[in-house]
Amino acid sequence: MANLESIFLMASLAGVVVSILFAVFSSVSSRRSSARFSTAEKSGSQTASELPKSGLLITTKVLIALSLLFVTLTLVFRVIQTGHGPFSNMYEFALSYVWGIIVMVVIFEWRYKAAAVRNVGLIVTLLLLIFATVKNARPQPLVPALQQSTLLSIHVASAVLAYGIFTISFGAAVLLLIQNRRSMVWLPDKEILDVISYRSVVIGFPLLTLTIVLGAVWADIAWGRFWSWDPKETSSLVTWLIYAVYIHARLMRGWKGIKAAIVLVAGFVAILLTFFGNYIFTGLHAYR
Amino acid sequence: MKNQLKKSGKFKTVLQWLWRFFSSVRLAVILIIIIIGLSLVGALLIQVPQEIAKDPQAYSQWVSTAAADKVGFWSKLLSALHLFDVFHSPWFIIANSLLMINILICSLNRWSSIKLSIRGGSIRQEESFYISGNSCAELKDIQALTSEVEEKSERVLKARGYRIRTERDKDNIYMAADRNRYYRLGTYFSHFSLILFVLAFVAGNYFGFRELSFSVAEGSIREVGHETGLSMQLVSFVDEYYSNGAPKDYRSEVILYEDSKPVKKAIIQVNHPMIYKGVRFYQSYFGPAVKIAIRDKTGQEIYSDNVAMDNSFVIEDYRRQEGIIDLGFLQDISKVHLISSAVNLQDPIIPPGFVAVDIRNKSNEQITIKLLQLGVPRIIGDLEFTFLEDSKYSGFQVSHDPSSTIIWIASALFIIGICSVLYFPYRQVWILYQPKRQGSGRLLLRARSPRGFRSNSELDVLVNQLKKELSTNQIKE
Repeated sequence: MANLESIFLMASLAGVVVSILFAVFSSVSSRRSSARFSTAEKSGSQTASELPKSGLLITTKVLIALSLLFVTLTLVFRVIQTGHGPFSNMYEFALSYVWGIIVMVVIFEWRYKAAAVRNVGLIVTLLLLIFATVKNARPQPLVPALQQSTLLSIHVASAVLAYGIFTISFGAAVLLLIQNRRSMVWLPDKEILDVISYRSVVIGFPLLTLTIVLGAVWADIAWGRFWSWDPKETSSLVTWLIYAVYIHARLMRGWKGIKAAIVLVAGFVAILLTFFGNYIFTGLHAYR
Repeated sequence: MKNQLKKSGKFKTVLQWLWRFFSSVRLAVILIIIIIGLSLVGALLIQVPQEIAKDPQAYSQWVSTAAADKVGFWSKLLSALHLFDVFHSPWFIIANSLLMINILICSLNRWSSIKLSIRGGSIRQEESFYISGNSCAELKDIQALTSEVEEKSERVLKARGYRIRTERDKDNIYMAADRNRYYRLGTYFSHFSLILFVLAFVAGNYFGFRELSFSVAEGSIREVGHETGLSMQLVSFVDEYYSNGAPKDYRSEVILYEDSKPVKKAIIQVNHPMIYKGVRFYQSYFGPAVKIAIRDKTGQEIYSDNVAMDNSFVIEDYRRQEGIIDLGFLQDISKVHLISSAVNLQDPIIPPGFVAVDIRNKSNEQITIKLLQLGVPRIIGDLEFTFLEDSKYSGFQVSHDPSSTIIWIASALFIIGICSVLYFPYRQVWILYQPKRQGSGRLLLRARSPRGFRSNSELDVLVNQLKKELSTNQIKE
């Protein structure tokens, strides 16, 4: 099982690298054809998403689907081998996070066809996969406090899906900021990026809420207190507050565009702090 | 009289000003940013353990040692700013209290608009209303009877879950439709449960209790206290380890007594607390215990029990365990401290198989300290001590949190509220039908969605379905 796991880990890594290469190729080629397209049609606002499907694009999609399959298999073999959900150390959690991003990349690709946002997601995925490969740790037995599997599994599953989807909103926000500085015809237009970033937060925010609430409920069961200001708890609360600001600013004050995008980038920084926080602070979540 | 009026007028202005101040979402955003900043300090800066924070002397020592180790000469300043205990600092408490008031006022402020949505606003609008803004549409040259148009529009809206209210005058038909109006109440679910969390948290700290280290040695009984009338007996304790030495499982078999009557028998494990009348016992830690018997001068046994060696301390690298026997009922002795042989190194002072017996007088000064060997009675002071056997103790966390149920309910309401606001936007549609001559006319539509939601996509769907139903010739948007 350990063997299969590392084979599929390598396959995932290769899959994501090749996906990125193809994604870049297809972006470049669509950029060229869109340039041709826009000169021919004189329609500057034409977006890459509305271009006819190319073979490259289809190959990219197949490659991403394959990468998702490989990551899923890596996780499955890990779970079979350890007998518990993938959440006992940073390697397992990074892999889960990667899985969350790719799932969301696939869903948003299917729903919005915004290739550029997907590419940002893939780059974050690659960085995390490299981190996971470097950290690859032999499974350690679980200390008694982590043996309550069901609640913990849901807690972690909703956490990685929330992180995954917030990575998408980060991608959309970054592209929006780039678009704002210099309008690029091959990037999705600002309106679509804004919609993607908002929709992703709308899905991610309840998931993050669920993560925190389940974590608190679990802490009450395991340690007898809902909240202990453990650094990881605190930084996930900070993340939650940032997205709460985003939602209020947008729904109540109509924030859009750059201001909203900056809040989303801050939210993603908070996620990274929460995720890698284990190296900075100690506490109840201090697994490595 | 005049003066009084003036005063009450002033009071009213102040109140109005306060209300306006607290009803701003901008204030909420600023307060949240402050809370974020403070929380980040709490996550990144070393924080004082709560046991130490309660004792001013221990706290100042902690600041000059542990804190100074991390932050150097800044420790005094940071301590003065309460930043080593951010989450109990005045800043944090003030910011949170203001935010709670802010949330409350903002929520109340929205009530009139929500009430209007639920009741339904005015149906008939000026004609200009239907053609201003960007979510408008017009269906021209409808070839149908007026009653048919009304019935078909109603059918389309009903199918999409709209509530429809209609008014007619001699020329026109006016319709106002809306859906998800009750989901607007979701904002109260989420925001009030947020306030409920904070209140429950405060109430829990005030009315409940939390005992972090409640150790009971095997075989012995200990009172829980806190006016519960409960006491716990540890029947046995088992610990299991993985081959690498990491703990795999540990569990305690216990009997709980209420007013000296046994009321509950249970096995307590990590994640499987024992709960009795709201008092919860969590398996927390464990360690060694010693069984000691004490006789007085007359040879009468005055004490025989297992003593939990639950205090650990280090002197010159030697880590020893310490347990305390309370002999307060004797005339000149208060307590006896038992000290184990070092657990980490070969102990040159207290050899393995021995404990040191440290007898204290009423003012807690040492009377004498002697070694006691396992199985060998020894007279120390006026008493005869016997170290009968080695055993174990089990440590629990005991807590009673009357607000626990409230927090569970608030959690559920919180998520329900968030989902209902984000996934069920309140949508409104207004329709004006103007028949021109018998069997033809034009239909004007205007849609509205909350900010952040696109009303155009909803409008497109409605227009398409109406088109299909009414089969018009020409549509202009």
